[in-house]
Amino acid sequence: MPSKTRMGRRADNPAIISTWRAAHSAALGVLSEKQYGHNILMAFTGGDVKINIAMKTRRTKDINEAERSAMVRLCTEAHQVDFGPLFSFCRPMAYMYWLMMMGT
Amino acid sequence: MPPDGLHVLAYDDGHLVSHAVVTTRWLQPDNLPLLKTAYVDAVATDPAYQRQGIGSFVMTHLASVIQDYELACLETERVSFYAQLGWEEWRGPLAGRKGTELMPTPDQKGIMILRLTHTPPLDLNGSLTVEYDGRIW
Repeated sequence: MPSKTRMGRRADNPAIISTWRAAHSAALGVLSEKQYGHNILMAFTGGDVKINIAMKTRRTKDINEAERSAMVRLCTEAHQVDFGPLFSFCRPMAYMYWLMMMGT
Repeated sequence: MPPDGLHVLAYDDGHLVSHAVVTTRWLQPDNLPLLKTAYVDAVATDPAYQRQGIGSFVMTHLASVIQDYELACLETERVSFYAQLGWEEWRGPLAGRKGTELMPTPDQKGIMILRLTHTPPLDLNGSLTVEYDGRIW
């Protein structure tokens, strides 16, 4: 049985991975034509999975309070869990430095 | 946080699921001038979205928007993850520099660099020094 994340998405379905890679390449093609601040919508499906990922690039000076809070929450949650084999994080010291610099 | 920090943000239906930020720092490899370096921090993915390639996509996206830098650098304990994305671990001596003071960091591990379009030839076995900006690595 494929494993599922707690969001119910299959994490080890080869169809998802191959579709993701194709979408990834396509999105980078879009990116090369656009500049910072534009959204890039990634859609990829495999089996019963469909995820739409919108990519943004923002300068720190343009980050609003809601975005800042979301970033801090994300980093906090991500660093409190076991690290998965397919993703990595900056070391805690660097992470704490970043939070401090964000005024948290 | 320097105001020119560049954040890469990935959203699923308005929910922030992955993030990384780049700030400008200055690194000096052996026998080279100071290089304008994109220093990557605060890489994180929502636990519910991990193992789906989103973090890899954020890092690849990030690499595509920092090509005006001369080098990219980060510190990690997960070298293999970044290695598969083209990052290389620095093997030579590491140090920080504050003014004229050189501060060797012999115990530092997991410093990785990414060669960009404007990166000069590098010797990963040579020394690498980072300008102190409130921290070393």
